[in-house]
Amino acid sequence: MSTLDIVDDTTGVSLDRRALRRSLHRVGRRQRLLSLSLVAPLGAFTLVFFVIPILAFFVFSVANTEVPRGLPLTTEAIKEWQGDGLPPEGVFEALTSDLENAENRTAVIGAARRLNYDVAGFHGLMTKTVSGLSRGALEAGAPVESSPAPDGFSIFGNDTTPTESTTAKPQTPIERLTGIDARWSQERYWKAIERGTWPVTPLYLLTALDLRIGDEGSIERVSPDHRIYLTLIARTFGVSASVTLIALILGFPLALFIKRQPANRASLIMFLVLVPLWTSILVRTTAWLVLLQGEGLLNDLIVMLHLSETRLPLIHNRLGVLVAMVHICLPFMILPIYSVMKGIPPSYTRAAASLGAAPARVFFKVYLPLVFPGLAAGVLLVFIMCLGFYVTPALVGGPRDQMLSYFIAMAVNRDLNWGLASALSIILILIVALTLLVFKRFASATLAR
Amino acid sequence: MSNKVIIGALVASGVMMSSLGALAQEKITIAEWGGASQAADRAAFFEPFTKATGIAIVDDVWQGDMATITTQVETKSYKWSLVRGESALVKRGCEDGTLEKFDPAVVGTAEKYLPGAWSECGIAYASFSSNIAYNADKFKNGAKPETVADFFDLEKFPGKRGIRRNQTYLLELALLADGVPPADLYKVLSTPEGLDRVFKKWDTIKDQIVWWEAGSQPPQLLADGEVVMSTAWGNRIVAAQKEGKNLQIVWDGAGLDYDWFMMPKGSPDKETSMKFIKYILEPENAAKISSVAPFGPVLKAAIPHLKPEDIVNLPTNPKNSKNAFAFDADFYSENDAELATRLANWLQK
Repeated sequence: MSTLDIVDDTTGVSLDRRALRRSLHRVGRRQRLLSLSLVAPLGAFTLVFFVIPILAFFVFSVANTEVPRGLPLTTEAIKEWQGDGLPPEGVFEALTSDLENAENRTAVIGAARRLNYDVAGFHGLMTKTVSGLSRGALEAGAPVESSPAPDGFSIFGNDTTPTESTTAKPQTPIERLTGIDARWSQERYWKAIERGTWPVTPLYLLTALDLRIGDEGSIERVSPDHRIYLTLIARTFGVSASVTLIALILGFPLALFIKRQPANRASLIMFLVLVPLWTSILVRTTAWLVLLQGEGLLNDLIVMLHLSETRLPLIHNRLGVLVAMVHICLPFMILPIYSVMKGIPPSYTRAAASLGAAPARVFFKVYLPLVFPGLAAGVLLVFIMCLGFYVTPALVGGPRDQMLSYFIAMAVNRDLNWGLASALSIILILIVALTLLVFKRFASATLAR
Repeated sequence: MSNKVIIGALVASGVMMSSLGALAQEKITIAEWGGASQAADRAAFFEPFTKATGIAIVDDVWQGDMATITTQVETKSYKWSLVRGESALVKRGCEDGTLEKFDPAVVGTAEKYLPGAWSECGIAYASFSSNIAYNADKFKNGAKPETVADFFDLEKFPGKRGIRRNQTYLLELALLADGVPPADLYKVLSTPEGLDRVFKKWDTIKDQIVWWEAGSQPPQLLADGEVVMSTAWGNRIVAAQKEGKNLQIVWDGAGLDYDWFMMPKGSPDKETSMKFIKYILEPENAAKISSVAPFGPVLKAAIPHLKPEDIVNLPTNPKNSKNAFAFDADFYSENDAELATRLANWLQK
């Protein structure tokens, strides 16, 4: 470029090369701006609905703000504690004042909820302590909110006796708290509070991997009857892989069949393949419910034809989940395979055959590599789609067929545990990323062959 | 032709007027549990209330996730003006500070209500029962289930069992069948061994369980023959009987509780909602619920308004409640999260 000398043909005057480069640059920039403005809406969309939420997941999964917000004095006081034995009296006093602060009630409950994720039963301990403290204040004659604590909820009033009768009035904060509940004299509850004051917490990510921070501060596996998430991740992976495989086995021959039909018939069959896509997933899933249930159509038929004496369990188990999911995913397998097949000229396979290759050899050595991009796209599409399935397993599966998304929904809706929901989402995202990575390697290696 | 145009224009303007009217009309949204029990409230309270006051009531459905109320309160995006729920939910919401408190000057104090049916955070208005129910057509010739133990007896009564996917009633049922007297239920349940005992009992019939989540499912499961026995809310079974289904209630081991209306804290509809609360607290209005469905009134003053035919299926009828127990709101409000996790984990095994 630098050796290029531009000379005007008519005048023979050499143009200033720098000016030319500038104007070229200007034109280029205008074009770049134009193309940028065309993709700007897409960029903004991706940012708002994709990048920011995923970043938010990462933040939520380690966020640890509840305890400092709900128990500000305790957070400050517990810094003094070295972590062996019970915390000093000042911490007890700080917690007492934090819990007695009625203004901050919502935040206190938020902290209780957060601590309960760490040590089961902490929420109950906190609410018990809050009402115990206010009852104690009432007995001491201190002016407290006008309405008395609601007791005697149970229907026949069979359980109205106050649990703690404070005959000898305890005076120190330690005696007050341990008097309300003896658990306050156990180190593990204080350690949980201390962990709650960390700037970030590994709690949710550990929980999502069936791990926890033990009382000695090391990371350990949770007790066997609390281990569920690793099984769940394996199950999500397994169900998705099975559905993908079945869809491939069913979809590939169908795509091949459609491709070999005359144009009119091919478009009719393609239309039939596409029709389910226009029906809501919920409707399609419910239809399987009607077909497969114990008193459903299929079982009626089986009994009528004496194929089986008893009605078969076809739904609320793994079988039902696989059937319904394959049905939903099949079009996404057929479409990419078919579109690639359509672009392969029949002359290639004919040439291979005419050169003496046996049919099996033609298929595996010539046709399959040509169709491979379509297969890869179909497999990837279906597998990743399956990883996030929620409604279908929830409706046609049993409790042991639920996938990660079910537990994410449960964490959000039932437990308000956004941290755990975020941690589980991150695991799902990582599985997808890993799948893409492995697939890319595998696909480029295969295509290069 | 021109007539048709005029009529069309009239109809169109009428539609517009009525939709404008709906916009201007006062309304509140009440979340309940769907199915027959919601229909009962609609017939007994919502429709007469709208007729009397012109205030519209929009129905919504929930399944008792207190987190959904907490979210509305914390984000101040209120979907529901009032929510129906059982005692433990009111107690928990009250402790968590997510429920609005009612003014005793308006709703009265504990003396006006049955024992245990008063709280500053809710208005109890109906007693209801959790029961075992069965499809009588499936036991035409032989013995019929009569006790809680029969629910676990697969030899005597083979077939699938329907159970709500929730710790409530599931815990008590196992212990009752295991011989724990109703009075000791919560003493046993408060120990780790008691909980182990519960799940060991359920292990014996685990592979025969069909799980349900919405209250409208058990009558359907029973009527379809998907299950031969199921836990259910008694009123739903009575509603199915009225539709001609041959479903029966086992009163042994019934679990009794109250239904309440609670108000999310800071609800912008508070004033309008209070008009509704005042309406259902009129004794003759309060008694109406028992004439449309087997819910017992909670207001003492409403009891004289009951008709004899209404009390046959009431859970508080002494004939029905002999072997009953009352759900312990304290136990559930304190341990609910833990119990839910325990159940979820057991389900995965």
